Amino acid sequence: MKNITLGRYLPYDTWIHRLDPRFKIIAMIALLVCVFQPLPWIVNGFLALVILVLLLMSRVKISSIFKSLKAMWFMILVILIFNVILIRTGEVLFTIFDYPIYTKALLQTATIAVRLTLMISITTILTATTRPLDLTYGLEFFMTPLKVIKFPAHEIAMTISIALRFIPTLLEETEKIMKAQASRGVDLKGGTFKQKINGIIALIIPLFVSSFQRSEELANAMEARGYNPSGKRTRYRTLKFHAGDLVGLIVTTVIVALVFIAIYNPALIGIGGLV
Amino acid sequence: MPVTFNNVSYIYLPHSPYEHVALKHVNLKIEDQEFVAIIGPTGSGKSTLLQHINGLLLPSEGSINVNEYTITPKTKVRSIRNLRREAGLVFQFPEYQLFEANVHDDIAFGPKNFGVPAAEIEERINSLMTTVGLPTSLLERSPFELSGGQKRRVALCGILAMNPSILVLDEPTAGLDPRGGAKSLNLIKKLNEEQGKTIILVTHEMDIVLEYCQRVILLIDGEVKADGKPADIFMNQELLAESKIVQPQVLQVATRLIKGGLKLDYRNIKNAEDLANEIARVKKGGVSK
Ligand SMILES: Nc1ncnc2c1ncn2[C@@H]1O[C@H](COP(=O)(O)OP(=O)(O)OP(=O)(O)O)[C@@H](O)[C@H]1O
Ligand SMILES: [Mg+2]
Repeated sequence: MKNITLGRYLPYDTWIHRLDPRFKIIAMIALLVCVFQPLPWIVNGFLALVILVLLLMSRVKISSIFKSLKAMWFMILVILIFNVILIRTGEVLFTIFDYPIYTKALLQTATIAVRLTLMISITTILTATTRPLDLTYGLEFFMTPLKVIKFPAHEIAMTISIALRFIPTLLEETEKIMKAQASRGVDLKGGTFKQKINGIIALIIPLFVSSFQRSEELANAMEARGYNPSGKRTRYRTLKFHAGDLVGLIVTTVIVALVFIAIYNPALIGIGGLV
Repeated sequence: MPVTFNNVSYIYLPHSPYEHVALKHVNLKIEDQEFVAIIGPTGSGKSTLLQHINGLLLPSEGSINVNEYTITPKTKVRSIRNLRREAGLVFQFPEYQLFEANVHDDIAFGPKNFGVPAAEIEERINSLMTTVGLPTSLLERSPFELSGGQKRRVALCGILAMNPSILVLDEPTAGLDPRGGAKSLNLIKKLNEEQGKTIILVTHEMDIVLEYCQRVILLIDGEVKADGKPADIFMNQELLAESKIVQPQVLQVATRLIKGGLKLDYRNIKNAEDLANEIARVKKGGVSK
């Protein structure tokens, strides 16, 4: 269970780990926006290179990205089928059983696959290098202005951090219950369909029961210590913007600027002929 | 047939920053019908060891023999499925595994999974309820309505209903009141003596180990540090100091008395009553000053 790599914090101490979570969130959004622009391939390649460097810097294993992509194969396949059926422009690449396959359909699918890969890489970099708690502090910071319109910024941040805090606990719990039921003959891998369904029930019900119990205990414990969601509170850890963050901000701005120039005025950076 | 660990090592999450070697070259042999305790500080790998006995965890290195099964790093879980019936594993806080609509169905869940005929399951359930001391009127109740101690006994029934020849228990008395704990252990002892089941249990309560077990295995940092009779291990002062084990209370008293000149034979002492008898025996012998 614990070997789930997607979205897991990696306890290293790299330059990216030390960056301010607020900056990392901005940078992530900026990069995501870039990735989802209709980009010429050369710019896509440049973005991919930047992201690869970031992955290496944050010590995320490239293989783990591909592992989490495995789950996406099916989705990409479905998209491919839809594209092949719906997109009928461009040149005919080849025909299968008299059915013409257009280049545009394949290209479109490839673009989506690349975007998904880059998107997963970007979000993985953020979650792998930022402690969940810091992440919610960052989110809370951006939500705070919304308090003016009575948006419950703190409550939402608290809910998110509790949820994040309990993900590993739930996984542990799931593993424990799975093992207990496996000791009673549950076989989720083999077994007939009916056995599998029974096994899943044997897993889910205890999980629900203990989650409800846990949340009630947590709520009581918080109340017993005088938690008041609308109270004003200070923090043990405060977020500070360091020199490193400034460097990061400049680099990100330059990258984003380059990407947008490449889209709207490619001649300016001398790649006009390539687009 | 015995349980044998041949040079078993186990690594959690290998090749990741969370990698942790939980067992290091463990060699063990537990004979049929033995009553063995596994002790050690928290995090020493006791639960990890137990989970190898019924194939929940496969060793990273080495092999394990249980009855006619051999478990190696490459074993397919399918091929050892029936081992889970023969070696029944009761987890710490087993009450979390209850889920059926009523106690009866929950106890029947395990044997049903292993294809025990319905009529035999009924028979087993009825006799087991008496064995563990639960009224049969509970059978129709929801398991979630029971008290903590009752839940735990139902969970134990659920494992016993599979009729395992080896019973493996992870901290069976954790969180029980002293009387409930003693009751559980007397039950386990009965299963060992009357039905000849091999018992392997993990506990942090040294008094229990001394009173009930024939043999103790001490794990420290995933290695077998000592293996022998409880009395010998608990009177080995060097080992106690080194491994930070607390001596059982009766032996603390006995140690002081022996230091004070009383010639007690600590091998005869398993509980307070034994201690009293031993003192009486020595006194009658006229050793006292
Ligand atoms: N699922 C897991 N993933 C990673 N590490 C684990 C896992 N389970 C246990 N460990 C680690 O392996 C070591 C041994 O754990 P184990 O549960 O076997 O200890 P234990 O002797 O049973 O302790 P306790 O007395 O607290 O129950 C511990 O350091 C623990 O952190
Ligand atoms: Mg344990």
